[in-house]
Parts: sequence; C-alpha cells; structure tokens
Amino acid sequence: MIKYIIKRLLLLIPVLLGVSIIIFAIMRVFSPDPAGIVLGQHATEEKMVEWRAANGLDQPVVTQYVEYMKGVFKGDFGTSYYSKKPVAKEIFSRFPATLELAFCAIIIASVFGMSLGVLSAVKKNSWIDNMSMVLSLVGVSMPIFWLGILLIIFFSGTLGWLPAQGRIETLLRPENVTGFYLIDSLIKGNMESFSSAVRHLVLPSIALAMYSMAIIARMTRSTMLETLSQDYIRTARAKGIVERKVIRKHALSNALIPIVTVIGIQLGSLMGGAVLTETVFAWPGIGKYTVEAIMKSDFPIVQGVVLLVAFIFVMMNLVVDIIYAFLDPRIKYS
Amino acid sequence: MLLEVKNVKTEFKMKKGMVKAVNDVSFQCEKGEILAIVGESGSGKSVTSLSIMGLLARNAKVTEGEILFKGENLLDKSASEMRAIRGNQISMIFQEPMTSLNPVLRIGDQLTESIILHMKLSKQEAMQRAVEMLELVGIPSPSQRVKDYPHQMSGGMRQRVMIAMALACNPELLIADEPTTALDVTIQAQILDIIYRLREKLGMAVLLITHDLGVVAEAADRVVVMYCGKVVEEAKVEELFEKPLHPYTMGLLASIPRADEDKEKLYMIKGMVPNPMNMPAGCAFSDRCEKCMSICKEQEPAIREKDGRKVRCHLYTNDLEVIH
Repeated sequence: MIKYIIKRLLLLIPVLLGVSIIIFAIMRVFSPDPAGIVLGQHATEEKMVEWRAANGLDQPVVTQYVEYMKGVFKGDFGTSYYSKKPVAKEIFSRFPATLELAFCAIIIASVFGMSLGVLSAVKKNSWIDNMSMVLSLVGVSMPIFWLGILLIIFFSGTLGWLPAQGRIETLLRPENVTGFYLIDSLIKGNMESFSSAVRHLVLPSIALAMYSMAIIARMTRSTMLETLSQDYIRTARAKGIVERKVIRKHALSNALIPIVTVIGIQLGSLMGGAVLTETVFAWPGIGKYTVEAIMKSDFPIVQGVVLLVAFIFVMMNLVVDIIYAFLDPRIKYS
Repeated sequence: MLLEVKNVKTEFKMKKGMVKAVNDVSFQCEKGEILAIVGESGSGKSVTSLSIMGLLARNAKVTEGEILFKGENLLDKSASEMRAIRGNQISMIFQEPMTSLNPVLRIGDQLTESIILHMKLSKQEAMQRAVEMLELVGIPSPSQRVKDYPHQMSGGMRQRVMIAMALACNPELLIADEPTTALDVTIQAQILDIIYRLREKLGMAVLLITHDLGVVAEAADRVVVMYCGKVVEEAKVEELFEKPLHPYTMGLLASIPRADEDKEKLYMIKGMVPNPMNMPAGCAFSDRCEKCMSICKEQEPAIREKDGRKVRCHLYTNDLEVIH
C-alpha cells in the first residue's frame, strides 16, 4: 500500500510538469502584455521595456520557463505583478475561504444526493423517483449564478433571513489560526462569530452544492439499481433481514465505489474555486481571484493557481483510490 | 404435512401483458423429505420456490392458490411475519455461490446476521454458532475462515458457506435452487452429500430444485416434474426412473448419457420450449411429443392419479382417475 502511494506520488511530477508547460505557454500566447496593463495605458515604451526586464519577460520563453521552474522547486512561485506579494502567500490567504465553501457544499451535495439517489432506486418508477430525478435534472441544468441570485432575492431580500454577501460580519472575524472561520471561531470559543460564519455559508453552499448533488443523486440511483438486482441482495432478503438493513448494509456498501469516485471528482473541482458562486456571493475565495488575475495578465498568480488545482486533482484521485481499498476488500494495492 | 402448495398461479406483468410462469401448481412436502422439482429453464421451478419464500420480483405476483406451511397460508402473512419465517423456519440456497455472498462483508458477519436476528443470540454466541455451522458443512479451520471475505474462497467453499448460513437457525424447510449447477462435478457430489447428510442429522425437509436428473437420482425421495409452469408428473424417485409415465419425463430420462450404453448420438427432445406468450392450445408439450394424439392439440389434459403417482397426459385418460 505504502509503495503504491509513493508510486502514485511520483506520478505527480510529470503531471505537474506537463500542466506547468501548458499554462505557461497559454498565458504567454493568449494573454495581453502584462506590462501594458500593470503600467496603464499612458505608460511610455521605455517604462514598459524596463518593467518587462525587471520581471524577466524580456527573456526567451524557454529561459523564462526554466527560471520559473527553478524557483518552483525551491518553493518560490514568484510574486504578483500587482500586490508584489509572494504568490504562495496570496493564494493561501484566499484558499481557506474556497475550501470552507467547497467542503460545506460537498457535504450538502453528498448527504442529499445520496439520499435522493437511494430513495429513487428503492422506489423506482414511483412518484418519489420521478420527483427526485426531475430535481436532479433541474440541478444539473440550472445555471449556478441564476440559482445564487434567486436564493439571495428570496432568503436574503424577501425573507431577510440570511446574509447575501461575504464570509462573515467584518467585526466578528475570528483571529486567524487555520483560515477556516468555522474552525477558528470554535477554537476561540466565539459562538457569535461561529453563527455568523455559518449564516454566511448557507446560501453559497446550497447554490454550489446543487450541481454536484444532482450528479451524485443520478450516480447513486443507477449504481443502487444495479446493486439491488444482485444475487447477494436476494440472499440477504432470504435471511429475513428488514429491508432498511438490506439497503443500507448490503446494497449501499457495494454501491459506494462509483459514488465515492463522483464525490471525489466533484470535490476536486469545487476546491479549484467556484468562480460564479464566489462572484455572486462576493466570497473572497480563489476562484474569483484567479479570474481577476487572468483578466489582468498576472502570470505568476495564474500559474500558481493552476499548479495548485492540478495538484489537488491528482491528490483527490489518489485519496479516492485509497478509499476504494477500504470499501472493497477485493481491491488490494501492491 | 410441512408444506402444501395448492393450485398456485404466479404471474409476471410484462409490457405485452401478463405471463403465467407458474400455472396451477400443486405438490406437498413432508417433514424430513427431499422433494425434487425437475424441469428445464423456464419451467417455473425457480419461480415456484421464490413464491414460497415471498421473494418474487416486483412485477410478479401469486394470483391464485395457497401455500400452506405447517397449515398456515404464507400468502396471508404480512411482510414482517414473512421476515420472521424467512431464514428461520424456511431458508434458501441459490444457484450461484460466486455471486450469492456479499463481496464486501466477512463470512462471519454474513453468517451471524440471521443467527442474531432469529435466535436472539449475542454477537459472541452467534459467532460461535457460525463457526460450528462452518465445521458442520466441512470447512477446515472454521474459526479462521469466518474472518475471510467471499473472494478468498472457492465456489464449492462458498456454497458450503451458503448452506451453513441457510441451516444456521435450524430451518424446517430448506429450499435449494440448483445448488450444484454452477459447480464442478466432484464438488457437486460433495455438496449433495452435505445436504443429504445434514437432512438426516437435522431432520429438515429439502425442496431440491434442479434440471439435473443425476442430482435427483442421487438425493431425492420424491420427484415433481414441471413443464411450462405446470406439474406434468409426480412420483417416488425409484418409480420415476424405472417407469416414467409422461412422454416429457421419458424424453428427459432418455437424454441422459449413460456409461453402459454405446450410443452414436444422444437422444434429444425435438423442438423448443414454447414461448409463454404464445402457448399451444391443448397440452403444452404436444408440439414436441412423440406420442402426440389429436386430442392433445385440442384439450389440455388434467392431472390423474394412480397408486401415489400423478401424471398430466391424455395417454392415461382411461386407466387413471381424474383428481381435479
């Protein structure tokens, strides 16, 4: 198992190299010249040449890449063209916000998605099945920003129950320990900030969870239907076990592998930042920040984020593969 | 009488209409008896057993008849009453040992599940009972094997586990649906031997469902032959092999290869089992029957009884008495 994990971690190197080359090339081919954006439209040609030289952009692309990768291996991802702060610092100051939202969304999506899927499979072709499949069709097709806006209008505007924007009320922001407001406020025992953080999380989490929930519900339904027709389910029923236990203990535990795979992929993509949700709810996460960085040709930031997202995806896949071995005794890595 | 199946009809709801998989089937099984139900695929033998267990697919239903177990009609029982009977008084083993065990649960967990449920034992006591049961079906070092997963066992071993699981709560009736079909011939003999031996030891009745007349000859006391959802013949096993009455049974017996005969070609019943959506008028076997008469195409024969034997064929219209 450990050998397998090490082997998989070594695979990270070619993946990250490939991704870094692609994003490096894309930024330099398709993005407008950052010098013009950083210095503004009235900058003189000399100033721009000077700025490019200072940021290494006057070098041939290959040289730029080699220099960049040298830094990356030393843990230096460059500095933002705008804030002049190290890329790692910029990203990790925003990453907890994205993670907090992603985890909340995936929990909501998994709990409701799996429940709906199981219910649909067990009551196949009933009105419950039809309803939940319509719901998941809506979830897949509804644009996130529109759902977000509807949620804001209703829960925040009409009912006034929940805040529409931001992570927390500014004055209640907890002292930074992990960057996760829920955890930080609990560490300090500050229930007021905790409840504010929770209230701010509700709407964006629901908006973000909708799509993943729909995907998880569909996957759960189809694998549960397949599992429920297996011989060992009939065996379990022949033992006189109550149906609830047949479904939970015998069927669901066998259906989990594809479900966990989907949850893993969904979580991976949520952790990469939810641009639309973060924009609609003014959530200070990494998705919105990255889009801004792309617009402003902030090369080091974009490259750093893309590498991080690639890293997360590879790790998520590895974690999912490791979970397989726990879910199914037939799967052994050696 | 332990089990009385009376005029049972089981129908499947299909897109094209209702299909009768079991059509007016009656038989009885006494305490401690091994009753074989023989027939080709599609003859309704498995559906009959699932009807008894109350484990029919969602689109299937027993529409007529009674299934009396110790005098009580199982068809009148509620779902929870049936659960208390299943795995406890009536248990079942299936054709496919490779897929009939849950791949993600340990053998011990699967065995103790019904023991805890029906015998109300503690987890440790149940595990002890599970180990005893594995020993009874001849699994070596059972206290280690309870920790195994199904994929760590061979097909024969898994079928032994299935038998151990089925017998764990001392059932009065064991339904064995093609228990040896998926196994090698040598393993088949071992499994049959286990069922036979445990029947003697534990005194349960066995409903042995099979298409293999070799299995019937080896294990059964009495035989019910089914064709197209109907019982066509019923007899004691020696009588049936000695003098089959129904032409279908004769055909089945004639198509068994025998070591003491040097035949160029095996006998084959001509034609195919008719489509249940499109049954021939009259006797369902008439199209394939070598002794088919004109009446067979027109009128369905009734079951007739003589000397404890029953047969559904116009050949015996005159010398046997009609029972229903």
